[in-house]
Amino acid sequence: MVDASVAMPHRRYTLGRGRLVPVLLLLPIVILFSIGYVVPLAQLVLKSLQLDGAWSLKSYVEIANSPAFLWIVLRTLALAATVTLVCLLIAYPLAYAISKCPPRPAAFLLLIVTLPYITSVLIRTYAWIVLLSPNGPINQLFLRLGLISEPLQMVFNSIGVYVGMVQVQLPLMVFPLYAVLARVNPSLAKAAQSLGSPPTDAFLRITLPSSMPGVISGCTLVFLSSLGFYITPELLGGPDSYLIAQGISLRVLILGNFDEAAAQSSILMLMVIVVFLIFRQRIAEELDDRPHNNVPPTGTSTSGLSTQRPILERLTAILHGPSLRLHQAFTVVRRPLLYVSAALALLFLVLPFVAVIPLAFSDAPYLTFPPPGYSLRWFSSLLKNTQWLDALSFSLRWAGLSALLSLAIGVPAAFALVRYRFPARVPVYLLLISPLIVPHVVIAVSLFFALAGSSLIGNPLAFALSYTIIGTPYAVVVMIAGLKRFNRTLELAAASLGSSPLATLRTVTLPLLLPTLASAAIFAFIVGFDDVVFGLFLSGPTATPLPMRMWDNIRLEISPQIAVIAVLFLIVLALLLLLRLFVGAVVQGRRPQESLHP
Amino acid sequence: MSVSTAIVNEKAMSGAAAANNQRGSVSVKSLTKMFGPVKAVDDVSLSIQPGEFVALLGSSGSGKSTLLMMIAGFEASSSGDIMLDGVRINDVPSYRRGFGMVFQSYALFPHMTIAENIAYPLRRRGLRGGDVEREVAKALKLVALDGYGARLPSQLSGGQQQRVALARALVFRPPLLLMDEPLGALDRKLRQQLQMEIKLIHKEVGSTIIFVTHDQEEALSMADRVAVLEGGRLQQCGTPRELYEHPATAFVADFIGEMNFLPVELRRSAGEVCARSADLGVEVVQKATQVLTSGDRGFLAVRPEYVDLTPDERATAMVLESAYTGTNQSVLVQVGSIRLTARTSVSPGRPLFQSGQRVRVEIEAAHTRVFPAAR
Repeated sequence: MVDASVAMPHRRYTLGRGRLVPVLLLLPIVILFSIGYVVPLAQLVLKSLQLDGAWSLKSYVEIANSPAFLWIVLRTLALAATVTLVCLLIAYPLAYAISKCPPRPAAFLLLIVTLPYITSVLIRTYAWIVLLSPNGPINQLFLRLGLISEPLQMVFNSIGVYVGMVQVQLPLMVFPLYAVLARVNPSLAKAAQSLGSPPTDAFLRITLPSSMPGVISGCTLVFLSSLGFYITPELLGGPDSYLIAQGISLRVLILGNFDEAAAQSSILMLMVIVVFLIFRQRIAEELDDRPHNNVPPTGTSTSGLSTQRPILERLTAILHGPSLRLHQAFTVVRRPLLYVSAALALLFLVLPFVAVIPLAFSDAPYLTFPPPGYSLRWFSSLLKNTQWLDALSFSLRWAGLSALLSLAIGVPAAFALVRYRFPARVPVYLLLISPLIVPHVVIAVSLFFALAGSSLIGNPLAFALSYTIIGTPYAVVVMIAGLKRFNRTLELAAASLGSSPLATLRTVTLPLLLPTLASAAIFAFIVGFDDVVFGLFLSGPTATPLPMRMWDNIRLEISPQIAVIAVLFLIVLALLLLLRLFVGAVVQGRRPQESLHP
Repeated sequence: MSVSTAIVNEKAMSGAAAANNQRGSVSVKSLTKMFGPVKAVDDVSLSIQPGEFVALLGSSGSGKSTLLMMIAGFEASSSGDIMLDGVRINDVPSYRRGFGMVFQSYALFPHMTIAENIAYPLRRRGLRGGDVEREVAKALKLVALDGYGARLPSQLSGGQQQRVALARALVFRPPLLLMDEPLGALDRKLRQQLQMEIKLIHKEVGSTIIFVTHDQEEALSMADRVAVLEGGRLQQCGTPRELYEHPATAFVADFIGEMNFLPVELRRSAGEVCARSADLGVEVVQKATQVLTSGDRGFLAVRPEYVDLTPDERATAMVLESAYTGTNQSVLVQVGSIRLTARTSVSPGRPLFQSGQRVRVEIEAAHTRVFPAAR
């Protein structure tokens, strides 16, 4: 009875059974990522290790001997760590409050959190310049309240960088926290209360430990993203607050010191990859079907009871009464405190949009807040300016094309990763999502070096390639989440009713995944449409995307023109969201909507 | 209406699924499924006649669902054969097997109307236009949901959704209908109502049905034959009555209905086994079977209704606890070191047994069975 076939591994019913299928599904994305991403990055590292064609560590030696660079590294690490901590403190109450909401309000609140996330970083940064400027609304408010006697300098220095960065990164912290908190069984905290814990104590002992995976994911994301951030520090910071990413672009674009740029890029990438690999277990868990919010018990003895050192035990016993009373006292202010801090966090997220909208209708020839009068002059000036319109059509065309390409290669890859088990599954997944984590400056510099000398610099195709590289990870992540939620029994049912795998894909799987596909496309499109960094390195006279025009405007003149674009952008975004909700409503058969976010 | 006499559209049903009483015999031979080192289904052989209603009964992890999934074609077998009407179908993909299937979670397509759901298998078979409409209307009528065609699954109750799933699985007249805990998600009352409906529909359409359940009452009341699985092995397959009155293994004896297992000493002589319980003062002599060849300890299995109690002040046995259920009274009795349950019928005028009451315990030897100690 026992023959070779007995040892056959566990394999579920899948669309197509061969081992070749996942390979074929992954082939396009792996080829594209190799050409446009892995090889250029490898070349970048090699370049940093060479000087005039010979192996040399000279670039690194020079960097190591430069106190200025060490300061920049320290400043960058300090900024990333501080931003991460502040984001955690602001995001936790918000995520916790949202997780306590009924589904519909929760979906709406998450949408508000998502809104800044998918709005151009340029627009948000521009808004902070307006808000924080010496004659901006915040200074005006403080002056009127008599809190200050002369305007505070809050922009073009590190205050501006910190404020802007926290707001930009906040959604990245809220999403994973919410995802974990929403999964924590609410009966657990109730059970703890029924067993004698006041609510705050129950929170500290039960809910907080259960949410640690989300805290770790959120902190990793924000820290990594902050390490290589370029736009916000460059626009809001002053000359005294230089960060690594700025140093790299300065070396490439102004100084032409390519060797040092290559070395600094390699160091930045190394820092990011080290952190990424430390937390890869957590990141790779996103692929698994098992619930992964189990916190292993810490410090338990063989009896199963947690062990405490005798002194600590004594201390706990002494403090038990007072701490219980403290918790009880805190119970009274707990809810108002939670809701006030959640509301403030939301306000902080939407404030830039509120500030930008009136500016678009300003009739002043320069930026001033509040506008002295209202008109549509800046709208008509935009529509008359062919430079802006050309840039807009360039961005729409190439970001759109790249979004389609991202779907074309990302969707099959997501199918392969979710539905097949193969040896390189986790490494492939980490590779495909790594452009989310590797700083765009580093990728852009590597592409710049790879394409240098070819006609592709200043060519739209270079943009199509880079937009696809940075947009695809979003498409993959959104699709993986959608596929994991997908009820596979429906496919089994279709098969039992005589539907071939391809017919099932066409009649059941893809129609039901339409909302997910729409989300994936929107994310991939927006990532490309918003890009500044690749524009800095790859633009040319015939290839100038809209964000580059905005970038130049913000750097050179700061006119209400950007506000007009922001308003148009918000309108388009609203239309896209409505479209997404509509698609969802049609597909889901008028059942309650899930949120846009994956 | 009667589906079995309906004119079968030749184009739609060619080679696939015309149901009549000659087709739909299923047999599995030495079927085994390994998940890594674990045998989820272990050398199961089972033969099912056309038109028969067979329940696969077992607790979770018994292999009943895996067995069904292999018959459906959703799980590859590790070894053994699955035959439909004498043809091996192990390598036929699920969508070409032409079996109907009903899932516990209904698995209605949420983006299609009820009518489109039911039309789905017809369209996959190339049926178009008026033929589809007619068949869908008939199927809806079969499950008493006429007029629901334009609704979406989410607008129906759980019971209605499961009836739609049933209609969808039957509309193409499969020779074999597979049901995977189809009533598991429904409440008790609805479940009983649907049990009856499924039996009636089975009579009407005549398809062979394989029905997976963990509910022994459901299996016994619905199926012609019940196959009891445990640990991947087929324990016994027989009519409900055979299972209850002549359980083949101690597991079946325990799993089906209530059973007392009384520890006994075994003595063997010339093809017979004598089981003796000192506490009860009982001796039962049975033919030695293959399983009873070794060991000097065993169990005497006796159902509560064959334990007779008589009030007796001088007896050593004592009533521990009792439960009155209307027509019966269940009584837990301590006899020496043994505890056993008796079920006595309640007759008007006779007092109920009370806790602490002394009783004499008698076992009806003809209705007992001896099992070896390791069970």
